[in-house]
Amino acid sequence: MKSLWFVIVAFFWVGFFVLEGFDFGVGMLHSFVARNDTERRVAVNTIGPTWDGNEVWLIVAGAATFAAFPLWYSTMFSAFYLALLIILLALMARGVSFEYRGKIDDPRWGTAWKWGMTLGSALVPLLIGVALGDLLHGLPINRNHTYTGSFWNLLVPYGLYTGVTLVALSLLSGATFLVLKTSGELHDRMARLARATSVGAALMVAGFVVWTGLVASRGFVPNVFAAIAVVAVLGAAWVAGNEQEGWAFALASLAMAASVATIFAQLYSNVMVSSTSPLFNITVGNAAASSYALTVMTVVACIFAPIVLAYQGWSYHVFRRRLAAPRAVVETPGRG
Amino acid sequence: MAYLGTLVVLFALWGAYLAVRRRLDRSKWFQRAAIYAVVTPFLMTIAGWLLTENGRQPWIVQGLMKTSQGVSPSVSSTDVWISLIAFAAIYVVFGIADAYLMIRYGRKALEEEPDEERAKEPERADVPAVVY
Repeated sequence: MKSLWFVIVAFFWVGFFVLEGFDFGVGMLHSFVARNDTERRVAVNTIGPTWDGNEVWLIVAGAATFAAFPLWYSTMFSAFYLALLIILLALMARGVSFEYRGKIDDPRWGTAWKWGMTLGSALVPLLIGVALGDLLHGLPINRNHTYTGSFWNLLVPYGLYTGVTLVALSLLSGATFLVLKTSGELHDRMARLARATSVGAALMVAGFVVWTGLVASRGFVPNVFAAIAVVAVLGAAWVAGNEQEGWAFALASLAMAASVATIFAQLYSNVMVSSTSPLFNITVGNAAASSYALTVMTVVACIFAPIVLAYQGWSYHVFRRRLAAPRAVVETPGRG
Repeated sequence: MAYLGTLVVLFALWGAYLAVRRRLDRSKWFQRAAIYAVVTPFLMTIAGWLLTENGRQPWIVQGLMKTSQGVSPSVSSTDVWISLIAFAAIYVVFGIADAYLMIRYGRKALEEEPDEERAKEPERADVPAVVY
């Protein structure tokens, strides 16, 4: 049961990065790839109806950790206190900019929210990536499972590299998603960009897989998720050049999923490694809630998870069409 | 202040009564009150939080755990100050932007009734509208 909940928590993180990854990517890209405000609006509107639903996966990941592994939650959230503060501020700036950006037709107003969205979208995957990398790399944790370092101890090279890798994968997901959802000139520009990003992302993922193997103390054991991540990102780079747009996005998502899963696969059965002493590691065994609590949660999850997945899937079905610029601006918008 | 909630329900009932009697657009007193009622939900939610959080002290979980027992040993008071000031600052910024937008939209004249001709024009219903 404890291991099952470790898998569930990992699944929520994977789901969060797959779904919100392309939202972050679009958020980061929208200020660079669009040549004018109309194109920026189209880019933002590709994720407009669904981004907030995707973001709830983050809350669920945190809440599942809280309920299933109270010790993991308390040590992790206390250790990452200031980092989480920055993540929250970034999420707020980003979330508000969706709603506010179009409310006033003023260049300064638009520019402020444009950068709010861009920076927010970049900081969140970067910092959460650092945090996930830190779990595996190890942090100074004492025998009472209390974090003894400061904010700066969180910025270890492996953690930072994990963060940058997830940002690169978010950019790739975002670019391939925009290719799928736009039309006309913006679409063609995005297709070129998706190709360029895929090469960078492939290099980052290759380095990430090797480094993760070295960091995990068990040595470089070939790991099925790591293998999938490398194959998927190379596949995405391959098909992004062949105008197979659906496949490019699917493979980019798979690469993201497998990369995040790699971290958790290497982490198990620890949940937080202690760099002070392996004896102080926080593990699935010593962090889990009582089996009664886990049983209740399993029942609840079995009932509600399918419902939530169904309506989230349905919302994508409703908003499945390609976007075109508003008619008032362009006379003959391309059709998807 | 948290009991303002009751006032809002009464206010809504008043509005519903006027709506049923089809006098909503002519009731000067109701409309005047409605302008000021805009602030009540904001006051109420804040007051409600203050009431529950203060009223529960010194417990963080009533009867089970004291607030002092819930303090994270690895979070310093400097960290708490930083986060408190940062959140206060961002809420002030967003609050000002929000108030500015609400006043701006509140003062805007009502839009014209939709033109019959344009309404008949076939919309491409399957293409999502650009709204953000």
